[in-house]
Amino acid sequence: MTEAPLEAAGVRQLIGRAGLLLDDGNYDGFLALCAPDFNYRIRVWSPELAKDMIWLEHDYAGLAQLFAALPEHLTRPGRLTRHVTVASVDAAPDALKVTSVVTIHHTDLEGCTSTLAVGRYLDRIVEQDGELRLKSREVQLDTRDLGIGSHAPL
Amino acid sequence: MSARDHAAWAQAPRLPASHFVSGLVYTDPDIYAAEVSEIFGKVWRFACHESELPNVYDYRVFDHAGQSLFAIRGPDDRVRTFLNVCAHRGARLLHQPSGNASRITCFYHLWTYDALGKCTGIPRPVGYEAAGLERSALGLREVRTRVKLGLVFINLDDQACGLDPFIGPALDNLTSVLGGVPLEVFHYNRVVLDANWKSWHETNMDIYHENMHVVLRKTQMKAMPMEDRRLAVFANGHASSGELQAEYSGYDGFAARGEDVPPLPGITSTDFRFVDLFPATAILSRGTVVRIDTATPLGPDKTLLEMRGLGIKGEPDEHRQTRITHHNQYWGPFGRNVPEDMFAAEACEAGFRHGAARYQIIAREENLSGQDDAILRAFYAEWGRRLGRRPSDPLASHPA
Repeated sequence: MTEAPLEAAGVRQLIGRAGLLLDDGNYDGFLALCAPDFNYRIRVWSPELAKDMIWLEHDYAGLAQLFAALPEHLTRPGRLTRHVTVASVDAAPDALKVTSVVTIHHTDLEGCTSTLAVGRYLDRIVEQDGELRLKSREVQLDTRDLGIGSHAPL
Repeated sequence: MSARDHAAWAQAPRLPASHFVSGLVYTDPDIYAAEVSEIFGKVWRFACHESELPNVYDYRVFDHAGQSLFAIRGPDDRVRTFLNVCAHRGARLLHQPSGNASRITCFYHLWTYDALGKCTGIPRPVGYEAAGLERSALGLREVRTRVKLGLVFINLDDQACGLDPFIGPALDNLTSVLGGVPLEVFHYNRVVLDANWKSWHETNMDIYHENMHVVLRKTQMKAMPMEDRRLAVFANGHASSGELQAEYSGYDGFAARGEDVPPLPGITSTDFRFVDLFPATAILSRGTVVRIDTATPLGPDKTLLEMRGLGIKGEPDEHRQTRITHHNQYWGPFGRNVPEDMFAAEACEAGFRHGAARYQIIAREENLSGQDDAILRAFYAEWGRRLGRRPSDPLASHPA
């Protein structure tokens, strides 16, 4: 697979922007970067069960419902910051396959920052109406102890 | 007068002693040490589900009362449990959380053991023969193990009563759910919470806190009249729900529950049942899926939580996927409820840690219906019985 330089630049812009929007809690903005058939999934390997686990999965509509519900929930105070590094962009027949390394920090209301999770984003990106869109995102988490957890996608 | 000064704040509530708990039960190091030895060292405790040991020689490592143990399925298909330490120098034997081992070899001096706990090999035994030490006396420390409804229980105390007398009828309302068809664990996660173990388990025992969860406000609190609810408390500090219901259409995205996958045996898709087993295991079923959580104390203010989700073993993939969805809607690290419960446990820890909060009030009386605190009172009565302390005044001296 070869990386197309112009597409790669657009991909990095898309993934970077998606991370910033999630950091800011701008969920409408994040959804605007997603294709209508978007699928979001958090996958975690369990060495205890020797199998993969799905900890969160939504289609576009389900994610929109989740985002709409967030203000009603009791959530971890503070802010998440996603540090995303695009590691590879590969052309596939129906989409660009993008692998990024992600580290997510949590900063509490006293300004104390700690690492919440590390893992990878496995994204599939398509072009729709002249714009790159996220068609799917699988978050592969290495971190399995997420403290009190999260209502919001990582 | 509404707000209180220091003296008034420090006074015990004007309630029967059974209806409040001193904050010292969460923070005092001597009480914590006594809990580990007198409660966790002596009670039957859920270790894992038998589906985690499907094959002969499958093992599962876990922590209990500050010790590492492993359960292993022997060649006779029986599950046994051993302390996870070598009889030689005390090194930890198994380092992976799970696996399969017909022979367990200590990495240090290569002593070997079989799945029955027998020491089967010692390199160059001649040195021990000279000292009169025989291999037959060097087996592992076996821990009492019983399997009930697929749940593997262990007890460090060889003198404790049997599992059935300990549990009594507490599991009856989940007998069909847990035992009607073979279940299988599909979800496992562990979390170290900054909270006392009881603060966590209280989230399982405290019905009144459903007010905190928006999902429960919308799906559960109005699903049936409060007075029609039935709770039950049992000997030895256990408790269970009887007839709780949920109305899933009340929460956006949950309406399909009940129509998209068959419920578990003996229960409807809208039933919510739970069992709280003393001291720190909760088993919950929301009709189509089961959660088991276990709290293991790591310190007065540190608790290891293990959370499991279970579906039907061998079920079609589409059923499993739906049950996983149902599980994740409420439970798991991204569930709508569990992060809120953990937030509550840590918030209570923060309140009691340095004495700002002095007492917890568990005084609601609703005739074992509604949002009665009877489950909490039964728990603390057993806690007090085992420790020889009053939960309301745990540092006071009183007869053993």
